[in-house]
Amino acid sequence: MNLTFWNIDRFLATVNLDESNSLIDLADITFFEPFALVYLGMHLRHHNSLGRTFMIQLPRARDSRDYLARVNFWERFNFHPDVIRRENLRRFHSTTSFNDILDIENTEGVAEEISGSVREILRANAVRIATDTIAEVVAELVDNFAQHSQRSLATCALQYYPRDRRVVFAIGDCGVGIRGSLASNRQYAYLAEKPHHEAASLAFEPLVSRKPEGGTGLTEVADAVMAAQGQLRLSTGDGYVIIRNRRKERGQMALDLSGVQIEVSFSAR
Amino acid sequence: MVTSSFHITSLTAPTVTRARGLAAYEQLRPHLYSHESIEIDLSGEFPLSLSFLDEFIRHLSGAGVLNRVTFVAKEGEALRKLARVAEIRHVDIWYRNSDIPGRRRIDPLPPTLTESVLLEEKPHDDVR
Repeated sequence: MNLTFWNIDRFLATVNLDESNSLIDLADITFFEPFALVYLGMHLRHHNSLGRTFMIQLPRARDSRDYLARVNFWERFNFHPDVIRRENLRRFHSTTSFNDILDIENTEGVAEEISGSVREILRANAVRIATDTIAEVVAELVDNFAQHSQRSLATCALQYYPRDRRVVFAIGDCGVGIRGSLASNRQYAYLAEKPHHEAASLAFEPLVSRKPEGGTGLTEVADAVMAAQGQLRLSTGDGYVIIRNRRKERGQMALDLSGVQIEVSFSAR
Repeated sequence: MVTSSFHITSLTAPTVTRARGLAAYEQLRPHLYSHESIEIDLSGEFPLSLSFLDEFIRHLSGAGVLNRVTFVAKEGEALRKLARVAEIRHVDIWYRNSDIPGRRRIDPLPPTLTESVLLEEKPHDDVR
């Protein structure tokens, strides 16, 4: 079973949060898309901050376990040192990703730094893709986190799939989310009573921002994704927005998770 | 008429965030009133984000000097983004390139999204 944007919310909605040490059963997972990895991480981090702990059933598939070790999953989400030590025996490096779920701090220049790293990986892999466009999209997404999440930490992941000739970048935080951010601007205070997906959809309109001068970050991301015939998938609270085929779809996730988690996917030539 | 020319990357680099757009404007500000016209060269291959341009142009417009600025840009992404800013901010933006004799006003570019729909149920996969 692949864990992706399309099913991660339904998958985690089956976890019983009333139990102490709730079980997340990854035994049947054979593949993690970056969005699912970031979303799972934010789910763990959010509930850890509320004092909940989890037990994880490791994937049976060797590749999946290797992948989690490679991206430092166990370190990033505060697993027991014994788990980290054991799983790190499986750790190896690849040249098609950050080799990490990067925890990024909300510091000056973070958008440029991550965007530069993405450009280097794509160039090192000679990916036939509009590298500058992807670098700009990454910079916008990281800057969005820095400007609006009201949190000091976010997590991001990049993966280039040479066989599919596809580049995927995901970023997530446990911040105030799009609805909370926009509603702090008096002009959009009414959104506090609206569904998350309505606020998320509005955030793609030009100049819609918590800041009085307005913003264009998500507008540009949507423009770039459509121009490149890519896809964007975003969740915030219990709302989602998907942009594909010059169409914006929105609706409700099966799970309510604070913050914003977003993935962009581009195909190489 | 005294014209001064600046390549955008000489004002700030990299040119990808809103904060950098403000930094570029701050760099340019001392020259704004000592020259009758100013050219901002956007040519070359480097990331140039809409947020950056929007912030840069917003400040030029706020200072009342945007009509004295001409952007040098070939057809392509830079021109598309200038056209988006013209549409979003409802401002006149001027450009020139080596193919046209004088400067021209950029036609505002509307958004490309054509449809927005609310779905009853989240799709189960990306097959459409």
